[in-house]
Amino acid sequence: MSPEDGILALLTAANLVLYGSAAYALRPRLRRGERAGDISGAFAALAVALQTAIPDIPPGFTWNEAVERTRKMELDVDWDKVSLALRSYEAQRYGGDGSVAPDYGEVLVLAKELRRRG
Amino acid sequence: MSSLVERIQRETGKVVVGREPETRLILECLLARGHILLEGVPGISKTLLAKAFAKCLGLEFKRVQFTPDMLPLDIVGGFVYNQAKKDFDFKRGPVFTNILLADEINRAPPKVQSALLESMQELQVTVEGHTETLPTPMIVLGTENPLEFQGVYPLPEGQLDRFMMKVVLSYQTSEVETAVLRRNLGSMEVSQVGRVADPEELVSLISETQAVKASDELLGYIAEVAGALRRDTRVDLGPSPRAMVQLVHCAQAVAMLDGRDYCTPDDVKGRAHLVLEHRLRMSRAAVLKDPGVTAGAVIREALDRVSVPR
Repeated sequence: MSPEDGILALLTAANLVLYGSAAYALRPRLRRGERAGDISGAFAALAVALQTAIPDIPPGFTWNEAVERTRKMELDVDWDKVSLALRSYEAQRYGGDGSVAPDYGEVLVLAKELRRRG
Repeated sequence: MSSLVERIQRETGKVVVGREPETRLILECLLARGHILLEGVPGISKTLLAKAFAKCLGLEFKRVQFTPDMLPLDIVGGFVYNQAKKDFDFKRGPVFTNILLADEINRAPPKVQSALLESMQELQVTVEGHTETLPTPMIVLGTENPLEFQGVYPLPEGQLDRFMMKVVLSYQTSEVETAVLRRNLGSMEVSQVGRVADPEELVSLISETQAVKASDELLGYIAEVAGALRRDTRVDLGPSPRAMVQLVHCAQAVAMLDGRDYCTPDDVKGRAHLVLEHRLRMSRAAVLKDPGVTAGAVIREALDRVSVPR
């Protein structure tokens, strides 16, 4: 193999890795709402997913009521993590406590599961 | 805070079986500086619960049985001539206590009801220009016997509005009742109830409850709920501003006992029925048209309809 062939092979491999990663990142199952910049965005995404999956949910639902209702749907979700995220969100939303950076990933998982069901 | 609730429930549970939810509600009212109306048939442990509750918090307890021949001074007190001093002394009535069980309040004439309710509102008593302040903390547990229909003076709306909550004590399940009967085979004295807190601690808890945050959004939500109820054509008399203030205070107490320094919409919705239901007066026409239209149903619909700040 000549040095030029080696460079070509290296460049080809680098391109495969680069574009392959980009393709993976943009894979079709990553839809709108599964990414959220912050916890408020995550719960906003959940609100949209709830209204799709449970069209009869009244406007006056609270997050705790919604979580209790979705628990009964037997979704593949870590409910402890959802409860913790909810607690952090409420502390921020109603108590103004933004000191703790909450892990809201499971809220997005719940939103995704609800959209799948809806 | 949840451990305080559990300790109180455990101690009162030594003499009163199966009333843990009611015990918590009385504590919430006490911390929220409100009064509570208990409705239930005779022998359902209203007096025992109040006595046990007072004992475990180190509070003074007095009970007054309301009768049709009572006078206002039987509640608030009055001036009594002192022969030795050749002057009148103010003798304090039973309202000067921490926990007053006002039994069968609907049997007393309106004048007597007013005397009690005025002192509940003002937390002071004024007789012939002489004013005395009631102790702190102070809570009135009023009871109404739902069975008596003759010779009673039902509390008018203005008086009902002074009670933060109305709690209905119903019969227990057969399992709980069996436990009650079993416990009563031996002796069940209030003296068995241990102390878990003292009045000074309670005063401090009341201050902490007042400091619990209620965001402007949440207050706006509560005002929206009030508006929705007042606009409902099936309701003749909606909740007063006092009622909504008491709902906020109640939500603060719920949050405090749950170990939070902020209220959530769940705290508000969780107590809305207890705080608002006894204050609503339904339109007779609406009730005649549909007997299923109750204050509870109307409140439930309003809570479903009004969007919660999320």
